[in-house]
Amino acid sequence: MIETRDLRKTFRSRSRGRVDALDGLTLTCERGQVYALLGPNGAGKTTALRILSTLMTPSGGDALIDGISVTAEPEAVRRKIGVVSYETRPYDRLTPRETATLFGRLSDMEEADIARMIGEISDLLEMKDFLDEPAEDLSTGMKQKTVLLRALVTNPTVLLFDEPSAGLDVLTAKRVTDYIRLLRDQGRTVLFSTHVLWEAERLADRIGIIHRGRLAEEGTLEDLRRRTGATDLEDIFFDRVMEG
Amino acid sequence: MAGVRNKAWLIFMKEIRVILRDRRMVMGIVLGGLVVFPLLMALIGSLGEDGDASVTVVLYEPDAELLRAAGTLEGASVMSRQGGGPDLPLPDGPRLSAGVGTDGYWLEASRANPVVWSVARALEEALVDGRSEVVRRRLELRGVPPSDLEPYSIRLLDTSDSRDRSAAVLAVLVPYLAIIILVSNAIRATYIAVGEKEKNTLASLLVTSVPRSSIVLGKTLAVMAVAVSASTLLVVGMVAFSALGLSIGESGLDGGYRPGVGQFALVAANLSTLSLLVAGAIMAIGTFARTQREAGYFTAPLLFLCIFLAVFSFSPRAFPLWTNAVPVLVNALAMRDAILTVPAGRETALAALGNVLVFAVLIGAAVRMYRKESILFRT
Repeated sequence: MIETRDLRKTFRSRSRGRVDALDGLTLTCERGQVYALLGPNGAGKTTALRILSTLMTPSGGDALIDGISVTAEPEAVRRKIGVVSYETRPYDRLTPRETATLFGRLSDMEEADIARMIGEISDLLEMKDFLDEPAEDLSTGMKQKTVLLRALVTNPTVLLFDEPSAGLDVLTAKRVTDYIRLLRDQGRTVLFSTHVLWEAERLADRIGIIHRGRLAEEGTLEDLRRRTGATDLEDIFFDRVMEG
Repeated sequence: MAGVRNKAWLIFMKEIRVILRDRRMVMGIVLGGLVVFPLLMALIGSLGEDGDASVTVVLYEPDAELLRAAGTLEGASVMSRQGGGPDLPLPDGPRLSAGVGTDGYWLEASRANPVVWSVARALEEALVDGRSEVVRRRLELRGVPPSDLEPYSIRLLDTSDSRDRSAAVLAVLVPYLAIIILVSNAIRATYIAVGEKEKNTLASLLVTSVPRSSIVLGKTLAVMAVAVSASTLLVVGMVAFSALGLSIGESGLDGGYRPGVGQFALVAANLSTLSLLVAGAIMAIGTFARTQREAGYFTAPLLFLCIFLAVFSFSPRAFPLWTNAVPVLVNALAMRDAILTVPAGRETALAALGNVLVFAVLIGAAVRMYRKESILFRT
């Protein structure tokens, strides 16, 4: 389960002065749900995910992963999460198998479990052909799959994806979204941010539209349609962002 | 604590694997370490030979004694000008002049050129020796034993043998080159600290349950391994050079000197603790900087500072006690003394203590930086 309570994050910029990247964000993603966080650039999606993944500390409020506070017990939170971001890259000189093995060992996994997880995930993501190639020789899509393998090898219960399909071709993007659906079916909790509205429509149990650091709208797709009177998620998104 | 060590070891092994797959870096470490010393010795030797051969001694109206003295000079050509006829053109290049004055001989040479100055001193010495011989003969003719007037001349005898001269050369070169190679290779390994930020791989490591101290420790060990391996290869190159009995020019290193195990142990101890200090500095810089280029703004002055401090090993004199508190300098002097078989245990121990203390402060700073979000983001 993922919760944020009145989450705030303030930056100081020389040109813009005080910037409230998050201004009281409160949301809940139940265990086994997929939650899509939508919003324009600079809305606060990435900041929220960085706080949830313990890379940033909030200026106010708190965030909980399975009831554990990211500010009070960040190391305990890290044992539960897997993080995939469009910004992160695999180690160029290591192969996907070596990278995944390293991260499994860093998480105190048994060698047999690591090998089993690598086998399962690489089957599902169709990685067998390049599992032992150095990442520097791989395509963008293969590298993104490597990043997924690295995040998932530890079998985390909560997954945080920051624009997981950004920069990927249609085939690879579909493979990734199919995999997120599978994770949901396995009972994992998934929170992902995206600019691709059809991804949210297809995958998410709940959708949150974030604008200027706070939730402008939240609920299931049906809830959003009922409340806004629009049928298309794109129309709902534009209404809420323009209104905000 | 065991977990911290295990994870630090995993990070260390990852970094070593990445380094070993970087062929250019491995080549740089191996060739730089093994080739630098013989190359420098060849350069020093060839410079020395050329310098000696090119000095011209111009004698103005010389008498027989001045001609005799000039004839004893090695590695210098002599030109004589007599009779007040038209002057012949003087050759280009370094030269000195000598002649007979009203109350003795005169010599003119530039001290700015050490080779010219050394030839002038040799000529002065030959003239003094010749004059002493004349006096001795005159005393004998008058029936006075020359020993009655002793000591009327003082002779300075060079008691060194080839072994001593080899030791003197090694005592200068080992500390200087080892420190430069160690620091420059540690700087080359800056990417171990800063590369993960530049290549966007650090965030993935920071969201694992690995303690920040393990990440810093693992990376520090990898920087140390690079630094130590290069300077070890340098010492291996020197030992091999010495063991093969190679002699180059006037360098003085003719293979007569074999440092003992204890001496090498002291050099190794100094290099080990120095690598701690340097790895700590590189980690602190690499953690603070966001890019390799930004790190360069700090590592370049660090290298110059270390070169400046290592230069003091060129001086054979003893330094004041407070210099024991100056990192790098104390290591350079301890290594110099170790090779010259001067007791260097105290300096080595002091250097180790100082280096470990500075290392602890620098690594503490790096761990603190790793615990802040500014390690990844400008906030």
